[in-house]
Amino acid sequence: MMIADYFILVVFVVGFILGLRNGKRLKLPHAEKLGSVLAIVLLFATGLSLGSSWLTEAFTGVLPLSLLMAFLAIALSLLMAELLWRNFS
Amino acid sequence: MKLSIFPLILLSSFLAGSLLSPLSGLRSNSSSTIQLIALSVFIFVVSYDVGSKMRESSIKSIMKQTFILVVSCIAGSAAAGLLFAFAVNYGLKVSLAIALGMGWYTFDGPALTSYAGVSYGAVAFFSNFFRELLTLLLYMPVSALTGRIKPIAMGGATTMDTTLTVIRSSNEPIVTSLAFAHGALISFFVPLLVTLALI
Repeated sequence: MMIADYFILVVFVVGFILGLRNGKRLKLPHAEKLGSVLAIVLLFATGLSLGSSWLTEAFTGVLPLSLLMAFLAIALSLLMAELLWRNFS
Repeated sequence: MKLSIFPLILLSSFLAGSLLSPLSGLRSNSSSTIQLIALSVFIFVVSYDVGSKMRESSIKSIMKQTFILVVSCIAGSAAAGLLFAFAVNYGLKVSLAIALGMGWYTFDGPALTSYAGVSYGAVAFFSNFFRELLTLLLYMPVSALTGRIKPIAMGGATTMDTTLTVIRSSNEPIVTSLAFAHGALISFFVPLLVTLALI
């Protein structure tokens, strides 16, 4: 698992550096559309990998927990922005 | 308010995969391999695109404001992860990794699934998905109260694509540039921070 994590990290860094250095003259054709299609394929594969077991778990805790986390992240990011903006902008 | 239907298409794809899983006959390691290949290609395309656009956008002129927004988003998300870990009695590493997905559910869901299992992956996927949806819904009302720049921090990585539609439709070009630069930088940091949180 760790190997997969590091592999993805390496792929990201390599892609980013290549984009930064060559992105202006060598654009990926239809990068936005390609990204969208790949996101759809990736989520389909994620669904296949997860199976349907999460559906039974969804109503016993996953959705309320996810909403709680989303609200916390949004509220605290906004609060931090307010504090930092007041002091440093 | 103009809302993108793309997040709903993604959710439908995820649901279709989940529902078809028992019929597909794939072993779990085969589907994990497919998932890893799809994730790697997706990450490469996104990172290349981010890299090429970072050059185009005039980040220097908006550097300080972008820096404040990026720090706010990372610090706020990390604080949310800590608070969540204590409030719900979740593992600290996992909670931080979920929160530091910062809206990038296509990355965070699969990453947590492979590292910590199905239920953590589902929480990672849905919490980041809800973060995007809530930003789409709340950006306009919140910006009426706090100004147009600060709420960009709510959107995390999504401010360079999905939620940029809402931010762009309501604001000046400087706010759009800030949102894009913020989203691009957050997208750069998400894989690093999630991996660091899980180590």
